[in-house]
Amino acid sequence: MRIKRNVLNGFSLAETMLSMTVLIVGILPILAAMNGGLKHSLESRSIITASGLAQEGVELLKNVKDNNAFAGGTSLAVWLPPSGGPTWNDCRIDFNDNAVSTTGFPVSCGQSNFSLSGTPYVHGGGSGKFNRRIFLSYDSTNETVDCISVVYWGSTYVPSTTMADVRSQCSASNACAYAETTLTPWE
Amino acid sequence: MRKKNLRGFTLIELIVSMGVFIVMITTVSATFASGFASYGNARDLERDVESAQYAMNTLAKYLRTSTIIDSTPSSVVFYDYSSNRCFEYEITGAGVLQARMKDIVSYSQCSVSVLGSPFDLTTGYVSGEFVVDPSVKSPKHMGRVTLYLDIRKSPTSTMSANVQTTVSLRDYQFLEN
Repeated sequence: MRIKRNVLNGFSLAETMLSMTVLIVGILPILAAMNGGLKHSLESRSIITASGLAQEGVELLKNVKDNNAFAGGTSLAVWLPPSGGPTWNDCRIDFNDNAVSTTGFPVSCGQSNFSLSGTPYVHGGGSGKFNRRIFLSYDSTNETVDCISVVYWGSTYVPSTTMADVRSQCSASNACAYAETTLTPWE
Repeated sequence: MRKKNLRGFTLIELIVSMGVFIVMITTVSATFASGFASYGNARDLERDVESAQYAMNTLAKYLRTSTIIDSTPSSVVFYDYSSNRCFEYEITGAGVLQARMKDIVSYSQCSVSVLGSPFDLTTGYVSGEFVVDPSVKSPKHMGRVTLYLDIRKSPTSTMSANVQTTVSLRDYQFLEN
């Protein structure tokens, strides 16, 4: 090999910086991609749990409606009282609440009341990862109740008070999942 | 070609550069190895969660038209009016959700003693509990069943996924007769 330089040279600062930059630029995206993939898999577990809890909320509402129908009355407004109704606070619901028709939950619809924790998941036992909130809307013309059960985690998205807001904002990318159903008077 | 200008690397330079090279490769490959291991665990868990969810959804479908015969925190026995079958679902001590069933014609014949042999519904290690609120004829109360599952690759895995579902037992055949 022919060496043209006749003085002993190391690498210049510029050369060193250039090579380090190339190295870093090469490795960083690979690490970032791996990290992103891992994060995504963790996130998908949250989505699975959240969508299950959202569906559970809707199923529990159906159970409340069916049980109140046994207790009497002919109107959905009685079976599943809308927000501010006489017998039931419509913000949250749990699998272990038996007195669905008369006592309900004596909680206000404040965000601090929606945390789910424990095994199985239930409201009110400290602060858990997931939060669930129920929305009900009574339609007296069609005699239906529109129900949304929304589960959110982290602080990316916290549902406001309107159902339209949930429908447009709640998505997996916002750390949120919801289930919606329309209940009719039919038993 | 003038020989005095031909320079190789000195031994010291070689050793230093190899040292630097080894340190870098070790770090990077360790990062990759742990990344791939995490990916493998996540993939296995995903598979286990899928099988558990499928089992849960099937159970929910049956329960929606069933009456509870018997239950413990780890098992539930019920009669499905829709398919005329008696079922038992059990979370075993070995961490598997198992089912047993039998085709029978009426609610009164459904009990653990008539059931066939169990088959596994889940992979990985599953623990959890059933919370059963049975239907009552008088005063009329429509019951519900909650199933909570914690799914992991093995009992010692730190990575787990939780699924929970509640089913309203719409067993009008039981409540109205």
